[in-house]
Amino acid sequence: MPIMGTKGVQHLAETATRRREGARRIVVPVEGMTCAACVARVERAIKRLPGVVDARVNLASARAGLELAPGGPTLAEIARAVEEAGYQVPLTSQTFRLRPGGPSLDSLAEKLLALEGVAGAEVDADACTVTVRFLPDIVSAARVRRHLETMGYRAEGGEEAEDALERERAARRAEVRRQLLNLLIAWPLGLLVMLGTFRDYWLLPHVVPEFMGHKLFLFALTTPIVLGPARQFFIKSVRGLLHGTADMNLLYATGIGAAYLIAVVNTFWPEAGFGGERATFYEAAALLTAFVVLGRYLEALTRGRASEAIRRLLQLQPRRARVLRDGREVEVPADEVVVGDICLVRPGEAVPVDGVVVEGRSAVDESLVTGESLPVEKGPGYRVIGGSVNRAGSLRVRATQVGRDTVLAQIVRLVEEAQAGRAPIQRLADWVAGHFILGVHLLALGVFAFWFFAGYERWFTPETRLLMSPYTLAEMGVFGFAMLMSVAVLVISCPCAVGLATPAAIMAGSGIAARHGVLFKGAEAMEALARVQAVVLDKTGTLTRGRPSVTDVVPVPGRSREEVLALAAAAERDSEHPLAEAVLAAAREEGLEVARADSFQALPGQGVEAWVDGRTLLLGNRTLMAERGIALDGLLAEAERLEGEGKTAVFLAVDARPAGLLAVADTLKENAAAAVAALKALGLEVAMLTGDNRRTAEAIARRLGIDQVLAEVLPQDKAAAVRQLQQQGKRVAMVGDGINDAPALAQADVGIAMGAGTDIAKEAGHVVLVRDDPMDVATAVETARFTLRKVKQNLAWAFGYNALALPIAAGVLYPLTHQVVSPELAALLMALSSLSVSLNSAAMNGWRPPAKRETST
Amino acid sequence: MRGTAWLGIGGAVMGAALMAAALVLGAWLKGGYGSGALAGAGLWTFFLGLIVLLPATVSLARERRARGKIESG
Repeated sequence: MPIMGTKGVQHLAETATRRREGARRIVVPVEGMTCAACVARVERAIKRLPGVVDARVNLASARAGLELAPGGPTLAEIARAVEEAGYQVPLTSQTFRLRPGGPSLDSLAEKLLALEGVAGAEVDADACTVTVRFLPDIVSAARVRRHLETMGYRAEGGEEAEDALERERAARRAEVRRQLLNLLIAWPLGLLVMLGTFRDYWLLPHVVPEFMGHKLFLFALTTPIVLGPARQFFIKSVRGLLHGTADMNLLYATGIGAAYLIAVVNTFWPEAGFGGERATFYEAAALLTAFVVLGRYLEALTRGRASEAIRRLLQLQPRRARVLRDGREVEVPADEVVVGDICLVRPGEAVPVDGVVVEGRSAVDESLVTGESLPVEKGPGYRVIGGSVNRAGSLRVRATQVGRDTVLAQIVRLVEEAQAGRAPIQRLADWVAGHFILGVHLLALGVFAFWFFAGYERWFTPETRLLMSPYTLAEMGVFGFAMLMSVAVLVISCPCAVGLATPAAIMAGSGIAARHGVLFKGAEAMEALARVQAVVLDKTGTLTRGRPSVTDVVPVPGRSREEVLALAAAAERDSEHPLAEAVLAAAREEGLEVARADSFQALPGQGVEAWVDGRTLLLGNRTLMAERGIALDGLLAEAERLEGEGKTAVFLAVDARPAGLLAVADTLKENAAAAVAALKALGLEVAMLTGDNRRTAEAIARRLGIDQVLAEVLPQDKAAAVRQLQQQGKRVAMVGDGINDAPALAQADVGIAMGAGTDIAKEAGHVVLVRDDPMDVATAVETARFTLRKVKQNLAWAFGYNALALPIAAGVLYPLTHQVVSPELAALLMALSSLSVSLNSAAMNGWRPPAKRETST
Repeated sequence: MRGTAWLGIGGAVMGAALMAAALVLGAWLKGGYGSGALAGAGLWTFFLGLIVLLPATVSLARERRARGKIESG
């Protein structure tokens, strides 16, 4: 069933509209979230702030993607809202010394707040310092210092904050270590508790010493587990409850706490009526902790891996740059390079910022941005991308884009936004998870009341056993039994893996896509692209190079090909017509010497006339030749054949006698036909959109293997053509030039902007292809489909166990089987769902889009 | 503690206590339960009730407080 229907499309359109109206987008890290319920809570807290257009929180990346209306909340207000909900925005504090002689310090704090990423500033006028609280993800200490300097202060200090991503990575590593330590405590002790508990069953009495089955011994082993590894659940749930929120930790805390407390009461006061001596569920408390901690450990591992894509991208950005300042070579942090600086890049070094080569030649590896593995030749005048690696010679590069404006920074921001966003498919999962805690506790209350008032009396028998264990509950009292049922319901219902199911897959998917030069602007775009049925390819610039070039040179007998081309180039040398550029380029490519014309005249609508080395050259169309009475008998048949192929024929006459003809056409891109075939192989309907006349368009479509041609479409009518296809009930992706085709890209269910080059963020379209390769369209579709498949699998894993086991835990089968799901079995099932989701998402990283596999071999 | 809506927490405690009392009363009227079972059931119901009610009452209290702030300021 398609989930991304009209609403999803509408949402994409709405989002685009809002962006156009000047909404600001920021990504804010949020710490302390552990489950989908936390996600819902943080979102609610932020959305409550006036001026927040949209807020999407992603558990796997621990980030909130916010869209703020002009005049929306400040970072400080956002941080406060998140804090009040029980979570933290990791702000950094830095103190800058201000040298005397600067402007007044009176309104400095307010001025600093105007800088994006600054949450607060405190000025100490006596000490002449300002302490700034800021988000290193958005603004660096160097940037704050520069901002102070632009205001006229001479600022010092402000240590470069540790790289935000590195800090997060360190925090994740610490979390993995913490959970590993918890595992190492909970598992050995938990297994001992289990051995002790079950020593009277199976063959264990012969192996396990008697004291291990003693309640006091079990108490002594379980208590460190509850006070150690399980403490985190109690602390977090109490903290949450004080903020009026309930999350998954509360489920664990309830389960573990209830099992442990009843076991303690029944150990020391068995007559208290809480189930008696038999109801000492130490093993439930111990193993429940062990399994939950195992799940937490796996989640911590998965999250770390999911954010690798961005980390890998950011690692490519050099930290330092060598620039020329006052004629001297100085090394500065890459952050401090300003537009216009000349950067020196030696062989083997990475280009520090985006710029233009002013001196030197080299092969530059741009694979990080474009996915293209072959180095690209660069010389003076060529653009280079920050982070690309200089392979051969030394280069001098003039910085044109720095900081957050570089291509790499834009890519990282887009990937972050895509990862912080949520696919429509996740909304249901989040809604369920967000309301789950309340629902589960209500269900547990209902199950308890049912078994306490009616079920126990009616169905309880002394043969009652815990599922998959010979442990009988014959002496279990009504309270102990009803409570055991409700605890099993609490634990088994916990959809801990649901929170990770979609974001983990989306993060991995967008990371894979980014590595291959495909950038999704949001998770919705990814899901929408996975579901498209038809792809419309704009001809010019998408399938063709968008620049005319000489395809054929036909000389008359007695003249050579090279001679015709060289003469044509000489005639066109001073022309500004696009055809002239193509002819000159062809001559240059063949290494021909192009003579300079003594005189030149452009003949509008017909061609050119030039005098070269005493000869009169005429280059133009049939009309020109006819007017000058030049017979084209020998060339006409050839010209018609070429025109049938969609090419333009240009005739050359020397001293009023025909010399040959040149065919000029917009050439097809190398991979165009292969890309069309790949899209068709994906089961997509492929159509070509062009302003060309039908005959030419069809000739090109035939060469590409495209059956459906939308020809003679004026640029302003492209959107209408896409709409027409949509009205046939198809979900359409439009591929085109991001700027010229913007309306059509916006009209399509998914707009794919191709060959973005350096202006990624400004591109229209929901998907941006960095390279100019049509094969990347297939790569984008494949990646989107693969990711959506993984999302669905993850959701099935996450919900599957719970859905199947919940009725059993609630005791639906008890009247027939007289078996009860033990809390530890419930915890095992829960851990299995976490394990399945983690492994399934981790396995994505080894995947390579089939289109890439084929082109690379 | 900043951001803690004590009024909401108080409301949830009251509500949960009422739920627990209703359950214990029901069980007592039905008869056949020991005092330990009644106490345990009361405590467990109170606890689950608290969890169910807390999010709603605290956010209600927060909204009231926020409205009050806007109206007064």
